[in-house]
Amino acid sequence: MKRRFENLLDTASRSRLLVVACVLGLVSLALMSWSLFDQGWIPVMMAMSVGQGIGTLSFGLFLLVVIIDLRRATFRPSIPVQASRKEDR
Amino acid sequence: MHVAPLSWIALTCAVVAAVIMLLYLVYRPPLDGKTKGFLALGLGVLPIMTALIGNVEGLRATEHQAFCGSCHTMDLHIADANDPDSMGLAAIHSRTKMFGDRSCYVCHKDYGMYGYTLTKLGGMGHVYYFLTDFAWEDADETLSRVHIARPFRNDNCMQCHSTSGRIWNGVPDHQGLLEDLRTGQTSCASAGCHGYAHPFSKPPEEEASPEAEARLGQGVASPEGT
Repeated sequence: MKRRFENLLDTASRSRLLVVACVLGLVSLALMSWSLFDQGWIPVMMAMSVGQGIGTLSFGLFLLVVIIDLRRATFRPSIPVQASRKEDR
Repeated sequence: MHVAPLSWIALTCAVVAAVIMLLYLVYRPPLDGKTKGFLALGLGVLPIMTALIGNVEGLRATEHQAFCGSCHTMDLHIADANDPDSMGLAAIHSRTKMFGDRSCYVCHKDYGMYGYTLTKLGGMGHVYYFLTDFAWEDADETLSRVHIARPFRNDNCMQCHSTSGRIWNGVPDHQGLLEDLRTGQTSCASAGCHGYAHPFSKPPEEEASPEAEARLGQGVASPEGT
């Protein structure tokens, strides 16, 4: 499971993930907005269960993209190593 | 269709979030910090705002008759509660401002410490029964089978009628049955006392006795001094 997740982090396409996240986000917003106009049991329950579930999934995919970015990023120290050594001496 | 003021904030958040997502889908800008910042708003902050406000408004909506009446099995109950000529307890109470549009909830909610949660869990039970049993039948067909999950508790009546007022205690039946009423052994909403809350739903043999009808007609059920 863990290896599969790491494999996903290494190979997944960020733009494709974001497209899926946006589509899911639009669906969830539509469900949540429906309940603001029609307050029968179906819209209200759909908004508070399915709508929010899909919305959470959408936000989770965005966070996945952020994690992928962080894994692929190369971090450079803000103070050059050479300079800091000179100061230490 | 009525949209509550708070809902407009949720709706604005939803529209802005949708615009951000649509712009990303159409233009597919490079994934730099600025794009990710906008997407964090569109996929995170704004939908979460919509969901939070939606929860508040959604839970508030569950307290209104329109919500309870959105299942067709409750059509007759709602119609009776809003009938100005009906003398059932539900109708009498629904005519007052304290109950009004929220009469189903005010009478049937659980007033205990975890009352709100328990009431909502009970409501999920209603959804289950509706989907598995009543959904495909007409309201008339289901009427004889729809019944309250637990006997109606006098505690709920006693949220308003304290049973300690002088006029209330002046009624001989109240005096004689005081302990039974307070402990719930005798139901206020029974055929021999104030009659059923939804009398139309009961078979004729369970309707209130003529004596009880006469008492109701004399205005003994008046809430003053209770």
